Amino acid sequence: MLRKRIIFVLTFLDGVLFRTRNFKPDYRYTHNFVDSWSVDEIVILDISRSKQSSRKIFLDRVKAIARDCFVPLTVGGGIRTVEDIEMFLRSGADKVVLNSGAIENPGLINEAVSIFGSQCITISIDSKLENDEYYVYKNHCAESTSLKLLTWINEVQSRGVGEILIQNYEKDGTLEGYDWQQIKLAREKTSVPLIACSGAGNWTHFEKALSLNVDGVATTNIYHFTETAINSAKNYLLSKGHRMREIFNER
Amino acid sequence: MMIAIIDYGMSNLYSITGMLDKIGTKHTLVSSSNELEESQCEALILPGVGSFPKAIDNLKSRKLYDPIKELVEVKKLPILGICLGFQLMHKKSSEMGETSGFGWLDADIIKFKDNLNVTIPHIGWNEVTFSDTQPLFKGLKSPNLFYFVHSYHSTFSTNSTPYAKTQYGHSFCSAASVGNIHGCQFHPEKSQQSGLHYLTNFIELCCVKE
Repeated sequence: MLRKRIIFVLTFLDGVLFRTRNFKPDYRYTHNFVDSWSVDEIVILDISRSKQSSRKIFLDRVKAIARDCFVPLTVGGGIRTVEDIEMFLRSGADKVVLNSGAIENPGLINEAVSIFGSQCITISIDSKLENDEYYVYKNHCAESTSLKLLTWINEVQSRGVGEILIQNYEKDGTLEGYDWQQIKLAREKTSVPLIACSGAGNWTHFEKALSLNVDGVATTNIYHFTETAINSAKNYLLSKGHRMREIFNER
Repeated sequence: MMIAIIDYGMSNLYSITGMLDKIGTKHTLVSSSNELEESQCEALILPGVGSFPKAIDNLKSRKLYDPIKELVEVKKLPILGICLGFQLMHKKSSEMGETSGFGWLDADIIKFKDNLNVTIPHIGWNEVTFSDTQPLFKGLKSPNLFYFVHSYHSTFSTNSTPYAKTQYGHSFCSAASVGNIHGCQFHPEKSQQSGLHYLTNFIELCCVKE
């Protein structure tokens, strides 16, 4: 049976790995903290506001991670064109994440899927609740849109995306837990793999999200999950009946 | 021993070269027929991410298709196809119309059906079940976990023992070894210890062939 995934999200600002709170950087650390043997997948995002100047150094970081990190890498940040996607894939990405670029030009999804395949294209959706309705935000949640979350989920799926990552930026870095209501609504409408992101502070948050039937749980708060902590989290989730990838007993 | 990694512009090669470095094998990226000839390789790795027709197009436009065919069919060099590379070894694929592949593996590539009650694409770590006779799984315990990311799969019958199988909606062939032809739908270069073991077995098998 397919295993549920625990995913680390690494955010880079001008080439430096940062922790964020509400999408604003607030802490520095290095990627040496990452327990790369027990994590199931890594998402790497360029959160620099000026992508033009940061991109080269960001992609150099991605290359360095790809060279000695033998787990899947999903990479994004400022992707606007098929050429951007090619550049990311050539730098070590297995999948790419689109967000604002897809909102501004939804046709980019179709174009990307026809060249790289659905399995290569992940859509990240930032949304928050306003008057009982989830609306999609873009550009690091700096700009609101008139798009409703469920409308956008339907649209990106009909355009062929392979995976959806959802988050409420108000939960980012809070350690309070994911936005459960958002996950429930999104899961009902999502037929591709769904990843929950933003807000996880401990193992019980992973457990609750997996109980809502997401395919993976992501966290940016990797400093809480260093050394053997991911392994311990997995043992906890296994004891709760979730199918996780067992570590160090593959032989 | 030199391994040629076929670079036709549609693969993440960093993890493959990184893993070969870790194993300690000489390797080189080849993106043209000249480079392939000059490499004097003794084994090939055919990686790939993307669509089947585009991959065949790229291999042909870089004049790599026929030389690869000759090295594998006439000189019988060992070859490992990974993910889309594995699919290219089949007779044909139904991805965006119908496209012929190398035809070394006697089966087709088709899409997972919509009515299987599983999310498509198949993304994540899943079990691969194999028999002891499968050379590239030597020393690994069955079943074992490998990383998958794909929407299309092989139609090989999973009842015959030479093929490894995986359950996703239904059972499908997730790896095969037929003579000098080896392929896997999963990504060994993304599958940590299990993948490292699998790739090391391929390298050791190539050395024995010397």
